[in-house]
Amino acid sequence: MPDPQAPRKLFDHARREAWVVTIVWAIALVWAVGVCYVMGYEHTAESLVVSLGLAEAGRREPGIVLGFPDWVVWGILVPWVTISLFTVWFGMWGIADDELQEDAAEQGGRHGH
Amino acid sequence: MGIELSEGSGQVMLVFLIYVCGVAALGVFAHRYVSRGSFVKEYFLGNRGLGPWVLALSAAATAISGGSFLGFPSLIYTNGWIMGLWICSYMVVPLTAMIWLGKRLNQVARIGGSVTMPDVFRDRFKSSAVGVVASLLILFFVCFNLVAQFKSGGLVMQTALRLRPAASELTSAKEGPDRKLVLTFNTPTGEETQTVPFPTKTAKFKDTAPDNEQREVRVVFSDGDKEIAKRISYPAAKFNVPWIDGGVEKGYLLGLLIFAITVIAYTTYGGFWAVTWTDVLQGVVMLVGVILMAVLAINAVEPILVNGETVTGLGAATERLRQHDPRLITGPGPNMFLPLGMAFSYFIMWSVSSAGQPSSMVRLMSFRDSKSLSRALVLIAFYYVVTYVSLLIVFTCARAIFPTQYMPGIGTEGEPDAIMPEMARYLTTHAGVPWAAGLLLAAPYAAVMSTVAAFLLLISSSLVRDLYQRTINPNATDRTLKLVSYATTAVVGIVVMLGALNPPTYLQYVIVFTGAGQSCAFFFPMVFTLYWRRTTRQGVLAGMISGGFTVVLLFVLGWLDSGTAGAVTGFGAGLREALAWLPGWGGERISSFAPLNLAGFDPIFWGFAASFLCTVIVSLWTKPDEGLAAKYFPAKTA
Repeated sequence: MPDPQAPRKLFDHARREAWVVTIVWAIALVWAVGVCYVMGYEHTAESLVVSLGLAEAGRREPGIVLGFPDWVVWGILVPWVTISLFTVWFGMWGIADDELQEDAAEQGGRHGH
Repeated sequence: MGIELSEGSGQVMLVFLIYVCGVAALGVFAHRYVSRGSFVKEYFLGNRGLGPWVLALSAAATAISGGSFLGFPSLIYTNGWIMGLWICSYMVVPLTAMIWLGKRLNQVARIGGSVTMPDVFRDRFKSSAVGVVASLLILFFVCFNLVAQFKSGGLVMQTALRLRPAASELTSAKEGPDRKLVLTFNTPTGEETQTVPFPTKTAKFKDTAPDNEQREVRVVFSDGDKEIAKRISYPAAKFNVPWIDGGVEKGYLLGLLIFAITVIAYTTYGGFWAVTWTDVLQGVVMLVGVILMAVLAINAVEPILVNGETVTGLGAATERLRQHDPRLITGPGPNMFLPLGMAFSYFIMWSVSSAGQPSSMVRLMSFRDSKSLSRALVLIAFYYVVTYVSLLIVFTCARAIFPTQYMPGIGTEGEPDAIMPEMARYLTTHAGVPWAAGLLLAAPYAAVMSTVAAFLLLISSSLVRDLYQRTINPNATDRTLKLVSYATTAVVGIVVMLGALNPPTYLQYVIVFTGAGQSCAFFFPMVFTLYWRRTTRQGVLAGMISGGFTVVLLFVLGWLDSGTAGAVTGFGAGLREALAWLPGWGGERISSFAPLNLAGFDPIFWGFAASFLCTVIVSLWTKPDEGLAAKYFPAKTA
């Protein structure tokens, strides 16, 4: 017997899951762009990151880690692997297994407005 | 017909033939499914029956197109490791493309019985205008994209065929502008020229030695007491095509015909199932191909001595890039490729625009249950990280192996767009398995083919379902719809193929333009349609039009900026002065097709902003239909 609350539950779960994804997206943005910018870019003496003590003025010589420049490792590969692991967890256990309803009859006619 | 294959091409073609036969067989098998039930729902949506594997590989293969396998490699080759930052938002694309809209879009489509993305808008707001505008926007943007994708397919096949150059006669060799030597040839189709950049700043042209057997010219330069020789192929063999100046290269034309006939045939005949099942095959080919290339590329880099230690593999490649140009291993990259504002924009671009693509939305409307979505999410996360990191590795190694040979303007072997197919040939020859080039070349070919098939079906569904069935002839029978669908898919494919005979030069910009345009037009209108009860049809209309128009406007402005650069009098000068107040106007431009990056941000940023604001403001200004809102937004029950 179909659950009468199923459509509402799906809506609530879908909205909650969308918010979770939005938060993860924002974290990924700040992490990747932030770390790559601080560690991988050249900075002037007047730049904000230098004045905050996060980086030194001039071009930094990147170290090489497993063949990659170090800023690529910390700013791209590490977050990518982390978020991929989160995605696997989310897919396996985080997303609600909501019931999808039957298809309504296919629409063929015009719609007035 | 005068088709001459070069040595080794036969083996490559055999592998391609096997792949094409596999694709064709799937298309024929899929046709049997089209015969069940409602034709339109089966042909365009697979009757909402997608399971996890097909959903995952279909979504991935459609998203990864010629841009990813031809354009992106050429950018990595040219700009180095900064391209990792450029593409890295694919780490969240599985989540954004599938979860932001996923279950809710599927639910809303089922409530309305919607088959296409414009259908969802049309049914939700009971408005033909909204459906028609959505369809027209899809048609506009996707047609541009298709021409670019067909060109990609033709180029890959052209490399696989590797026809012999035309039998020609070298008539002169003269120094031209910008330190380039201009070689003039008499060919069967008329006079042709090849330009050869001087190898060093102080080199002088010395002599030429044509080799009619190999159909190449040995060009000799002197630099002090050193001699530098380059081998330049004769011009490509061409067909004369009446409406195209200079004719069309035989290899490209043949490649385009083979590509077009294959993809048009299986898409037309098999519909949605043909497209998605071939996506599974193509997804596997792409993954295997790119992993194989990464392994071969790492092994092909010459070791290098650093502080007394021998470095090999990827470390050697990165070290060679550092020594060649330190900007290749730091941000923002050569020629200020990715300043901070653009890095931010591109992160938004891939992650948000992937969710806003109509082709992606159609797949979300077609999965059969929530478990299919969850499992597809897991598969696709793995797929993207392996594919994109492998591409970064391969083409970083390519720059270490070919430091200048494919660089724009100075490359002796070709342009950057050629690096993918040339690297496939080089790596397999270097590894002693030249026949495997066919498998590696099948990867970009598969990428283009999967995207083209999805877009062909998208255009066909817009024309047949959204415009013909739901607007012009609502009483059309299944038989009529079947004939119209087949004819439309085939005709659109043929028209696009003819457009690709003389295609635009800058594929990557066309693809970025169409991707940005579609996502800016549809993402926020769809988000609000699904999650905000207060959304009105006027708000959605405003959001779609403003989003799409903003992107078009910024690309037009970019073109105008390039076109009027240097103008001091007349209309051009007047226009430059009138638009000088725009932040970003008059700056250095990479290409005449690049858009205007207003205040340092990509057009997608502005398109999303416009679409978001217009959807919200106009919705708040107008009255929603409460009856429809109640139908589509389930109430909490006691």
